[in-house]
Amino acid sequence: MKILLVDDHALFRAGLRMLLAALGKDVVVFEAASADEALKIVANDAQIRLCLLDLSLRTSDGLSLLGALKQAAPNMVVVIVSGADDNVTICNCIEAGAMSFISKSATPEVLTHALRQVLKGEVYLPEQVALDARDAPRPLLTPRQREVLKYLSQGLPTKLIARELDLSEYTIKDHIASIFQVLHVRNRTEAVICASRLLLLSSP
Amino acid sequence: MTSNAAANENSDLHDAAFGREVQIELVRLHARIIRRMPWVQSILAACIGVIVLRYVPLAAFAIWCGVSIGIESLRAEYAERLLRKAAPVDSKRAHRAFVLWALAAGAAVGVGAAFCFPNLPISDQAVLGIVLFAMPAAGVAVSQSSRYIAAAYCLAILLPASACWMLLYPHQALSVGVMTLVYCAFIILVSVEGESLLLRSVVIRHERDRLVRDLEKRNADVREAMERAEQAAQSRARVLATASHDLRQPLHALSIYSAVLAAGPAPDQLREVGANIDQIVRSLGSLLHGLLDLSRLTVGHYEPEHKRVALEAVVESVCAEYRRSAADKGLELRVRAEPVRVLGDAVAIGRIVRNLLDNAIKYTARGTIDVSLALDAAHDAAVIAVADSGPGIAPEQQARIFEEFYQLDNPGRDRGRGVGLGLAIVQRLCELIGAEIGVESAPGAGATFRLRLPHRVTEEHASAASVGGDESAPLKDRSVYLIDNENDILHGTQRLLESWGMRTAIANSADAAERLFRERGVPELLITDLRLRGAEHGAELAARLRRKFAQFPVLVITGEVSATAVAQVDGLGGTLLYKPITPELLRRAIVRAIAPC
Repeated sequence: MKILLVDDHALFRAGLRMLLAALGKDVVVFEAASADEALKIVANDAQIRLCLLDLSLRTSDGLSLLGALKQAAPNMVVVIVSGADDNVTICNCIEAGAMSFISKSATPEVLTHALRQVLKGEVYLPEQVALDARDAPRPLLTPRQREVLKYLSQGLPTKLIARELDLSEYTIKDHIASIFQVLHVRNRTEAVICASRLLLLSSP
Repeated sequence: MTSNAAANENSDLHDAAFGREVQIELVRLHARIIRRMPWVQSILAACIGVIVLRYVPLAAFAIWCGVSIGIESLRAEYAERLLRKAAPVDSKRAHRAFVLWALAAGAAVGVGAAFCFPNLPISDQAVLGIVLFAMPAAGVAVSQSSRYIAAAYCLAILLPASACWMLLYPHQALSVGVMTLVYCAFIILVSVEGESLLLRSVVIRHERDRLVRDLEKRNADVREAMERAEQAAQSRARVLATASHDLRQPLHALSIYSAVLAAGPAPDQLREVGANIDQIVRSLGSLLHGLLDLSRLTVGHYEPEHKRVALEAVVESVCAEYRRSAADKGLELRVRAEPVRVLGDAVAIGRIVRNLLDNAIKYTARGTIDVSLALDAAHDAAVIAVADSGPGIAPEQQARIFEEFYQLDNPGRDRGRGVGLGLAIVQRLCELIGAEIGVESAPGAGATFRLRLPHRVTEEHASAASVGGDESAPLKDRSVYLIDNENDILHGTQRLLESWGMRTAIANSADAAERLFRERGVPELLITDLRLRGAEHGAELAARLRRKFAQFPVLVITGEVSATAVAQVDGLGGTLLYKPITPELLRRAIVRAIAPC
């Protein structure tokens, strides 16, 4: 699995690289210290599946880089790894297409757990977001809706979800609307957060 | 002159200045009233003309009118000029002039009346007499500001007129004479009262103005103090915010490495993990030390010394410390120091030069670093300059580089490049020791930091008891052996000791040390690391050498804190120094160790 690390703090990046190597099998890690480097690596290698992105980069804002990365490689899952971990920041990241959010302030155990989740392709959000209602009744979603929700959480636009599932954009929009209705949410961010909170994405 | 006398003189000066100011004020007041006198005199002359023209020839009356109105006009003109004059007025001279003018104006009326009297019938004489006696009373109001002016006017009118009356009516002479004198005395008395009243009111007004000025100044002072406090609070908040960010970054990294260790990394990765953790802990440590230094310097716990310092020795010893790291980067470090003595704090100055040199090496990729010490004779100051051939500093950044945590070209705050407190500490130290620090630079043209130290000691021949003598004399030509198994440390320390004028020899093992003792004899001091290659440690080696050769003082340097090490060095009667050791510490320890007991 090819992974891209974007962080301007060299020592943190090195630590993350070692942790990923220890946790995952056959992990190949690319490192970038700036937006330019990151975009160059993504342009050169279409096989990168996962990107761990720091929000506070020296030369550019991580959030705008997130948009640029999603545009350059729509299928790459972007996970934010940030020192800032307030709810507003987290929501902004999800809104911009990040699939998961890992706080740098987390304890080593939580960091390890979060990275394991991410490596497995699952969503991870900090406790404070996924706090409530683990035992709340699960809303009923059809398998199709569940699939759409999964792509939503990966930050894919409607067009790409339609392509992935081989359905028309119109049908996808329909599915999204019914997902919003079932989850009682108003937008994609809330849908992803709600889904993560209710553990809809982590279990089959 | 004692300060008390100076204060007295000061207050006298203040009083004299104040008195002059009041005088000027009074003279100007008089001048303002005098300006209107030609009109008053003209009306008066017209009225008198109606009475006397029937008995007095027109020509004579016209001459009198011309003379008296002319004098009043000239007097008014003088007053007008005085009021317009921008330059400081000589109030005494102006006052004298006004007395003379009053005398002339009064005499014109009084003498004129005396010539008229004999020609007038008795009733007109009486009316003219009333007018004449009324005029001095009006004059008191006009010349309220000076008894002398009032007296001159009054006497100049009444004396000729009264004298004429007494000649015309000798039987009334005595009573008219007495009444005239009493009247004059009374007029003068009233004007004295008026004058002091006026003086008091002027003084009161001045007092009030002064109070208002003082109050405004004090308000401005308070406002300024508040602004300063506000700025200090903002700067503290900024420092705290940056510090918390900079402290969190290495903590985040540490927590990652902790996770790596928990995940069971491959054995070959352990070395890298260790090295990285070491680097993080170091940067955390230097950040904390910097913050502590800064706060110590800020809250005024640091009491700067005021002793004689041989600046060239300070500069040279700091440069000796950095020679190696400059060479490692391929930089040429040039030092040019002429001997200069100042009264100051050697530790603080050393710290400033060290921080400047550290920055110069850190930011310069290639070229040279010039350190110079010279005398600015014109300003009686010593100037230490650290010039590099680095990237330079843009003008808009030059003021900010002395702020805490401000780093050039390091917005990502990569802590590999230091913590950004060096120049802030330099700034604080300069404030504490009364020195000035400045920077001259342009992008691409390198940077020169210039430290100006006041209090140069002028007598060049430092006495034996002076600190300048103490700084280098006791170590000069003393022999010392260094033992350490790290060659880098050996060479670095050797250079430092040689910069103090010591004769050194080095050994990197126990065997080499023994060879030294055999070939070159016993030194005046042995400095050894506690941990050496082989089974024997530094203290044991020193003990063995002592048994084998002779007694000599020992300094043991150690990085570990262990009770057994302390006991062993104690048993040796030596001194134990813990790493890291600053040059000042080392120097002090050496001086103590080789001092004749």
